[in-house]
Amino acid sequence: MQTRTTATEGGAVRAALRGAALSYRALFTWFNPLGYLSSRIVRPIGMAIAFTSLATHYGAGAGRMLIASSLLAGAGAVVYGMALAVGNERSFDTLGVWLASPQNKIAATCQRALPHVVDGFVGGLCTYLVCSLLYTTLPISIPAYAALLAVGVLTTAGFGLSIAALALLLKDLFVGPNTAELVLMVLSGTLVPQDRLPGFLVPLSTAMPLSHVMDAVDNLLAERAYGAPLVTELVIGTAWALAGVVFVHLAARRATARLALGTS
Amino acid sequence: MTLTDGGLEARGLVREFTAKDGSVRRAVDGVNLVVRPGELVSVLGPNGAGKTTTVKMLTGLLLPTAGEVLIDGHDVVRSRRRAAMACGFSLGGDTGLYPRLTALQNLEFFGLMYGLRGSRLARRAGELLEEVDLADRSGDLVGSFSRGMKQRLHLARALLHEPSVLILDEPSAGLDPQSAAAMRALVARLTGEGRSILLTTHDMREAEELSSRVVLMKGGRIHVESTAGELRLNAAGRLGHVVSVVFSTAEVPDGIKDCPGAMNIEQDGSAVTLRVSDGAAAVQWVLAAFPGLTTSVAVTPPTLEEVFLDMVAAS
Amino acid sequence: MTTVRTGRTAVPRRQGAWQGTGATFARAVVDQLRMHATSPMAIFSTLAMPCVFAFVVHANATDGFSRRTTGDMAVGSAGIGMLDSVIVLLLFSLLGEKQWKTLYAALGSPGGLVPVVLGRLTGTALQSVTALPGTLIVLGLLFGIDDGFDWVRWLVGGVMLSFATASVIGLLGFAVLRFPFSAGMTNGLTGLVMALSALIVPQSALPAPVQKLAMIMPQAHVMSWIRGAGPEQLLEAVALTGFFCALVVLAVQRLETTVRRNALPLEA
Repeated sequence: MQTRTTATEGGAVRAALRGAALSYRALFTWFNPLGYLSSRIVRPIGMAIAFTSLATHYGAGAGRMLIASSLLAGAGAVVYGMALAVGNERSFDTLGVWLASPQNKIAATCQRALPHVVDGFVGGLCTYLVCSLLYTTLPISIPAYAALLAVGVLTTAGFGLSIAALALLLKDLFVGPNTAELVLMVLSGTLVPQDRLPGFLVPLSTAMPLSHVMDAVDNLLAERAYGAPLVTELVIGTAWALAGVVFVHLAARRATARLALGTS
Repeated sequence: MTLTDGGLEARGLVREFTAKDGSVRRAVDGVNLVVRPGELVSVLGPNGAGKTTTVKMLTGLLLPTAGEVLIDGHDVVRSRRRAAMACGFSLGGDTGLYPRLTALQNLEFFGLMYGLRGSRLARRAGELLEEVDLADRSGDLVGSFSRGMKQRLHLARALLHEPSVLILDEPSAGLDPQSAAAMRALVARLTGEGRSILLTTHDMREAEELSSRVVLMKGGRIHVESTAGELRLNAAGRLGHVVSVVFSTAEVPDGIKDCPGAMNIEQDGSAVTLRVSDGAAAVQWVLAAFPGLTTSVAVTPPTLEEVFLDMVAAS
Repeated sequence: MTTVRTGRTAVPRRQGAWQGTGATFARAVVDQLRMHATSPMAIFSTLAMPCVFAFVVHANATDGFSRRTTGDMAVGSAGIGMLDSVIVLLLFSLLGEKQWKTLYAALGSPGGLVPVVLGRLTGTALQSVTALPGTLIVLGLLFGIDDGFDWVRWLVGGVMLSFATASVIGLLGFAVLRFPFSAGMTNGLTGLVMALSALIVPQSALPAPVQKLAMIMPQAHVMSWIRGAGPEQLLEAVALTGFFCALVVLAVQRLETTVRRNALPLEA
């Protein structure tokens, strides 16, 4: 009996991983060598160069901005990927079939997020390594950065669930993730430190993914303890994930109703 | 066993659309349909008759303004999941598949949506690719497929979870004659397996060849429902019969013009085609008027296409 | 006598072809603006994106630098919007042409694909110019306008920047038409061209290898002129813009040959 249960669970895990891999191939439209290189490697590196140069131009030093823009690169990949993993169903005219299927849409969206979390980690790490070489500086050790990045992409995945929900409803595929990226640029404490934000935006910033990872980065650079902000970040990520689950549930219902009403 | 066990039933289906100016257009107006296991019902109608809207309501993709649809006894609105598991549908066309996945991967991905997995999914996908004659292209990207191949893959996708009810929207649209014939053969085989199949089509030959019953829709309503044969026979009184005669003489005798009830006469060498109000009487008259001069005489009721065109023209 | 006749008939036919080409170009420009000017992504790219980047620049500006809107900040930020909007609009436009299979008609016309592609490109450039006043208004309201704001350089440089950007991105247009599944390649361009164009920081602030690459970008020279360099920078920008336009024309003409010779599909 126990063996059968384990086998069933193993089958379920394999099916989930297979579904994740197929969704990545089917719905992530940049899945070709040049497209991948362009969107997941070249773009974040280019952005990171621009922002790190901005920091050095104003005499702030490369370290913090290099880490921040690399973390943002990872987060951006997660947000875009998760939005495309749902929104492209509309592009391929398969949204109806998906919504009509008995598959649990929340589970499916989480499953589809998996490759993008891995992707975000790879992109964020590449950005950090390439920019460190370009600016000939390694602000924090690679394992430390990797750990921060891992936390960052996980908590962004929670936020990404909400963006995926939005993609179920918006006809324009890129408006949602592009807006989300701009919001992250301004409010996540990465490119704009919290103390430089207008006062009314600070509470919003503290609720955004990455903001507490950036607190940890600041502590790490100042050689202070950085564990507590990471715990807070995970709590924020969990809260976003729970909100995302509710949003996906509501959005899937709304999208099904819209389809059923013929107004999608 | 109730009427809809393993079958499809639609009762009083109505669908209205509200335009931007607030006006309401009724696209489907009180449609009642039953498709029993082993039956194939064809829905015919001119563009705008409400066929696709009806199909979308039957599949649960579109909510009816009024009425209900039962698939294998499950209401498509209230028991959506159960109805979805009993229903396979194909809306056909060039889209609706993932172009960057291979045919096999497409079936795997859609299969996962319907709860299939592991070896069962792999086996089922393999079987279906064989069935729709795409096994040798299973590893090719769907983006490179022709329209006909995509239509067949749509059908395979619809069959993945072994539904008892199958709804096909113009499955042979845009196919070359060879592919269309193969598609018809496949659909006929599926009907033979005991599935309840509803298909919409503009191809009268397809409807006539495959259907247990034919439904003619017009203006969102079912205009007439019967077997293709009955429809043709019933229309014969109005449209007349076609009598084809081949004479053994070099030319058609002049006297053929005197055939009673002849509405139209077309000559081609020694053959003549007459449209007459009473086919049997015309045959008797030909045989009596030209004894020993005929090689063959045949009488046929109007074609389904003629019946259809007559119905559309009547509107 | 025969030779003279041939010459006489050839001249009007050629003129007709050129007139057709000009009309096709103008039509492509107008259609581009009509079809895509008010799309959500166009508005997002030309307004929201540059303002956010300007906010980031402003927030990172430290003592000793102007924290009010300067000419380079206004044009550079708008330049990010121009870059993004030209990429997005050109992509939508050409992918739409491929999807609707309208490029075959253009290919069969006397002017071929070139006037259509250049028309679309010019349309996107004109559309992207709207980022210039839009960004300035928002930045002016947020941060105020710096006392030393050079209005001439803002206007001339801004317009020049949009056309310089469109000329570079024109090569992407060729790639979209030539290669299937190439839409994904566009994404990286925003980041890469943004860094190379010295839009938010002077060229000298870029890492050494990037500085060298920036020399071939007309946008970097425009930005250099806006930041106070002499007119030779503007001339270099004009020359490089012309060079990129010529490259686009050659690439599209080469594509026409490939399509005719190898039956390359011009459809999505």
